Amino acid sequence: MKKVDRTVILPLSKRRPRRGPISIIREHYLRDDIPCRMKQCGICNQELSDTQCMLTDDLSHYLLPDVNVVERFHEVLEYPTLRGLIITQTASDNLKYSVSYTKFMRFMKSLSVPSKSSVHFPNEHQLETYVEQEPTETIDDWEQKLTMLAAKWYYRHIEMLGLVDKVKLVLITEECKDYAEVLTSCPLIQISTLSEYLQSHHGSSSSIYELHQSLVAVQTESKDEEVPKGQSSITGYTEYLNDDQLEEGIEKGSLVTGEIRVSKFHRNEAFVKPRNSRIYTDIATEPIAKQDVLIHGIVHRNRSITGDIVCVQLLDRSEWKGVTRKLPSRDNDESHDESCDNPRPTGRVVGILLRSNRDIIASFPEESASSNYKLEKVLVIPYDIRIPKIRISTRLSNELKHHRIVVRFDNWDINSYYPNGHFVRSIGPIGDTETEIQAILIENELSTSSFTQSILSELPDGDSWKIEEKELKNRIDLRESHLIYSIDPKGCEDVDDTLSVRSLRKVIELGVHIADVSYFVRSGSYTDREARERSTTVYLADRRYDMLPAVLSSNLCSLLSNVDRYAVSVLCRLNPRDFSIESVSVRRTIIRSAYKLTYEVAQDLFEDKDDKYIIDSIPELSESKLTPSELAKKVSDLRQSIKKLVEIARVLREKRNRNGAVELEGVEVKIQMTDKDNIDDIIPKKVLEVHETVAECMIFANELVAKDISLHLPSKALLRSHAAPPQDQFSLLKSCASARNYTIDARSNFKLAQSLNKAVDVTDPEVNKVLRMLATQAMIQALYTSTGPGSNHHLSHYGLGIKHYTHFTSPIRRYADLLVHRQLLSIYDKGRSDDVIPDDSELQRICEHMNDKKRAAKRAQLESSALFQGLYFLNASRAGTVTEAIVYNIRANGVMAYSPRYGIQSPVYFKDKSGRLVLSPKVDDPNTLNWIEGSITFNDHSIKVTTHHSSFTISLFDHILVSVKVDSTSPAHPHKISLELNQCTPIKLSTGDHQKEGKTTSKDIIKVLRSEEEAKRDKDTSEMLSEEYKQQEHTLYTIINKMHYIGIRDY
Amino acid sequence: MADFEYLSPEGLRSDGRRPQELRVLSCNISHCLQADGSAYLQQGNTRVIATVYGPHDVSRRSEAQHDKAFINCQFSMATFSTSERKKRPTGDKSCLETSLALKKTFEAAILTDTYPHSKIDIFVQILQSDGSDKAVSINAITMALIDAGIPMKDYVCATSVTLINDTPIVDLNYFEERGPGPELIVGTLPKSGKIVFLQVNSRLHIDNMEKVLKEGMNGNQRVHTILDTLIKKHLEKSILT
Repeated sequence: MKKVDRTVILPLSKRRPRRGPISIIREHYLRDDIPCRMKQCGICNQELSDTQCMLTDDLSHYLLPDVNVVERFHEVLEYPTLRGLIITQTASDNLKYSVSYTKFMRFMKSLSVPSKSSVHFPNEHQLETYVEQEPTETIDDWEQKLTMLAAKWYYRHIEMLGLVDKVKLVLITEECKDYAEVLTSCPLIQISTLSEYLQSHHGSSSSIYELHQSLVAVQTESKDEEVPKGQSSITGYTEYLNDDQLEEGIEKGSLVTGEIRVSKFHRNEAFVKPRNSRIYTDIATEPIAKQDVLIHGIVHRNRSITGDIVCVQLLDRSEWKGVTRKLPSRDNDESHDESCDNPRPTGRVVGILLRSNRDIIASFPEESASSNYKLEKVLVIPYDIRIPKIRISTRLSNELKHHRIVVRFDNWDINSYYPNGHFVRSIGPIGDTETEIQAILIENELSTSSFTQSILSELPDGDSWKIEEKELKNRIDLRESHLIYSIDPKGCEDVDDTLSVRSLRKVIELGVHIADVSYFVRSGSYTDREARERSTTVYLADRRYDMLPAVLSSNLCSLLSNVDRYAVSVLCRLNPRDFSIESVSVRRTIIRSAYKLTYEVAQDLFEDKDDKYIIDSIPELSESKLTPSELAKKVSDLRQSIKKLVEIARVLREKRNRNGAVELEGVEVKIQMTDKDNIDDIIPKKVLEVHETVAECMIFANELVAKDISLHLPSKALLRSHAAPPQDQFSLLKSCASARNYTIDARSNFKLAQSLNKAVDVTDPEVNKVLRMLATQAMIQALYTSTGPGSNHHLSHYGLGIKHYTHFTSPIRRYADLLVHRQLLSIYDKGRSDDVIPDDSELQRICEHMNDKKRAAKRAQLESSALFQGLYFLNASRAGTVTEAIVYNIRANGVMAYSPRYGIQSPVYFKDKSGRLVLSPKVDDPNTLNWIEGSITFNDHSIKVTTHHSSFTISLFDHILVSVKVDSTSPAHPHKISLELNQCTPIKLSTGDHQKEGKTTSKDIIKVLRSEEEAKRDKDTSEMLSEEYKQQEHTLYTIINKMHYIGIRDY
Repeated sequence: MADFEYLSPEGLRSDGRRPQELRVLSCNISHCLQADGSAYLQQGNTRVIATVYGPHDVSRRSEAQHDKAFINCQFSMATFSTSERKKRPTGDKSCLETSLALKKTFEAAILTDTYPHSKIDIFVQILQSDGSDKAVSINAITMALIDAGIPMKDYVCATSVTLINDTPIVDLNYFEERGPGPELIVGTLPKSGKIVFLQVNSRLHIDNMEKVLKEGMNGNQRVHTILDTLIKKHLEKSILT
């Protein structure tokens, strides 16, 4: 090893007084043991480096891009079809320090995939490939020299191994002439530009070449233009402040930083949630309450895009605006709005700290389409209406006219109305279900790749796995002693949790046995890393993407019936009279679940349905070879157990209610488009008692675990907290309730629950439901948090009325539960578990990531249901379906209504966009409505529409007739379902008819849609699809049930 | 994560060393003829001078101990040793603390009962600071003591260790010292493995302690080998001249 010294010059420091640049001498060691990482090489010691990623022997050539190519075209190099890359340290360091750290991380991540067969070569530490920079040499020349040395070294290495005719070395550079001297010593090196290489090996029409061309176009255009000082006269955008000014402002507190979020309902308004703790105004230096700062108008948004981290300067108090009270509109409504809420802190963007830089789905506008493949500039329309149109250069506007494409943001010039971006790839034609689902997933940044080979090779074989001898000693065997069963939706494959109830002499033992995932997924393993990245199983309306590979989630971890499985058991001994807790123990166990019941069968057992019916519905009994008397005994044992379970759950629930649990219409709002589970129309739509029983037992187990880990790991326990919403969130709920003279006391969760229970209208059960829906919308999100000092310390759970709560019972589909398992077992199973428990700061980071992923998964879920609903109603036979809706909010130009039959929440406009015409019955035919001149008056409880010949009033909680319309006029955006007023007089409540009608489940919708699609497409394709996603008979139903299940639990 | 700057996926540190490798160590002994023992030690770019005076009479009655020698140690950093000029070479709290720690360390290593009623002065100054100052100082003092002929139980060898991405990294330079991991400086008597100096900055989880300590002690063994070789070479040279 040889040592040289390297001088690094640090730039001028901004904080210290100007003493000039500081030069630091750093050591630099040159080694001779850097491996080449070629698979065929026997000379180098390959163990010294990452053996996962190597230059495999199936490669016909290696690519060595030079520094400039990596800097400019790293996106092209990230393409999975480009394999065999050798990236020098010089090139990657340049990318890291001169370009952007996030881009560097993304680039390195793409290289670390084994299938890419690419390596990172630390050429600056290799004895033979490093020379010091000469005093007169420029950095560019020196970098070129280093690249040449690296290329020569690899060439000689290939020569030494005798593989010159098998493997070629291709040096990729834009300045081929500068490298010409390499050819003298290495005659068989090929030097080409990236564009030549792509054309010869991938073809001019390939997507990777297209990406290259679009990047070239972007880079040649960004010439230095006249940068106006201050404000652009064309667009009105102002220049950003420079880094020093921003830093100073943030430190002083005069600038607010935070993520900017454009309102989905009014694109003119955006909000920034402040991240720093104080906000000062310019004039009066009093700190303002920590409200979201409003950014009104496009000019003040100053070229920031939703999701960016921005720096905001507050405006003068006189310029503060309020949030508009009009109904949500799609258009960019810049008109002055008389009806506004109270003014709130308003500001303008003066700097962008971090661009969100995610992949954006977009599509081409209608008017484009040149007939030839000429490079032209097109304004593509993003799928998300909050993002402005993006200008890209492409030749494919004709070919991909009706496709959804992925674009990336590049920059936004101050004189331009639109940002610049570049085309990446196409995901398929608009309207095709697969494309639409991909669009939803990409927009929500959810990955859907299948599990890699390295993950699958870590896992045991599903078919041959058996309980191990040594585990028998380390675990308690509950196989003979306990009657254990699971209760889940029909068709559920991943059984996380099972229950047992034993009546012992003086106590009742309630057992909650959860799948022991932490045994199979060790911290630091590939499976663990991937599961952490995914954080949750994603459920879409018609499919799901698992967090863990199927061999675990549906087999080895899943507590299926009649097989031995590892579990973590929480055994709780309760007093037989009042079910108070006497003792709790947590153990690793081996269980054998006796029955995998469905909710329906469990309910039947509880309701004393006759034995024969029960035996037929339970496959474990009907297929067993037991005698009738044995069967009868089994049924009676099971029945007794379930009845006891229900009894215990009732008492537990009562206790929780006394502590302030709030029962909310979780399902209907969360899923928004889907309904509660319905097997078929006969069974009432009410939630079954056993649903609540199972949920209550899970909540109980979660609570016990939470208490334990926060006691033993006070600085780094993972909890689920739900903060109480601030009082002003309840203003809508309170004003709605007062329309019917109900008072809602929201000062505590207990009082809220009580007031909601009292606010019942016996003639109209929908009123209470709507009020609960509004209460749900007032809630803040529940979040994962750590108990350490880094968290914000709202540790209790408002909605459930519990002081310490966590997620423990579903480790198969949630990563948080897996972490909690590890924490819990570090307390109870110290000797064995060698898993690393993250400390507080690491845990906080993981929590943030999990919260983000959960939000994204929920959004994707909602969007996918909306997608299917849209397609359902788009069909000509169902367009304009008329249904009943209940009014739950009065606005300046209409009302917000909710249709219980389809679960649609939508604005119903009474005033049109121009503001002059109102919806009113025709003079001659009062049953049809048209738009004529008129006016609207409104207050909190009712809205009155007056024309010269008639007037009508609609009040809160009125039931109105509406027709369901789908707005599909803009193919670039997702379909928008809306409700239109059909009749202006509120309808009388039908006496309970609508209850029996049953709801249209998503299952029906999708079944109908699928049959329509199949008529259009090949049968084979759809079969192949269902094969791929392993769908079973009642797929949709099971998924919906799961969502409902989650809806109750995931609070 | 930023940790890749300190330890790349190929297992190389920012300066190209592997996690267990020490920096280049060189030493000049007996360069200061005035002192009884002196050593100039260079580990990487950290340069330290140690000088030893003694054993000699105590200067104050209070320092006299009837059964052992009194060890006085003064640690200082030259004003030009760091990238920004230090205002105060010695006398500030951290220097005083280090001086006291070094004194305690060498009290354990020197056979003080051979020289009752006397005093041994140790002066160590950092000429160039590029990480692991304390560890290098300890090594330099050891060499100076040997040069002065003061009997010791064993060499005292020290290295600094940190933990990045669950890998212990030995002999930190300036950049790595300021990195994300905890810093542990361990000084041992290599033959017996006894620890005479241990300092931990920042938080180190107890589960990792064993791993990190073990690597530190391995590092000390290597330092010991190098120092031993250097001493023997010096002896040869001085015998020949």
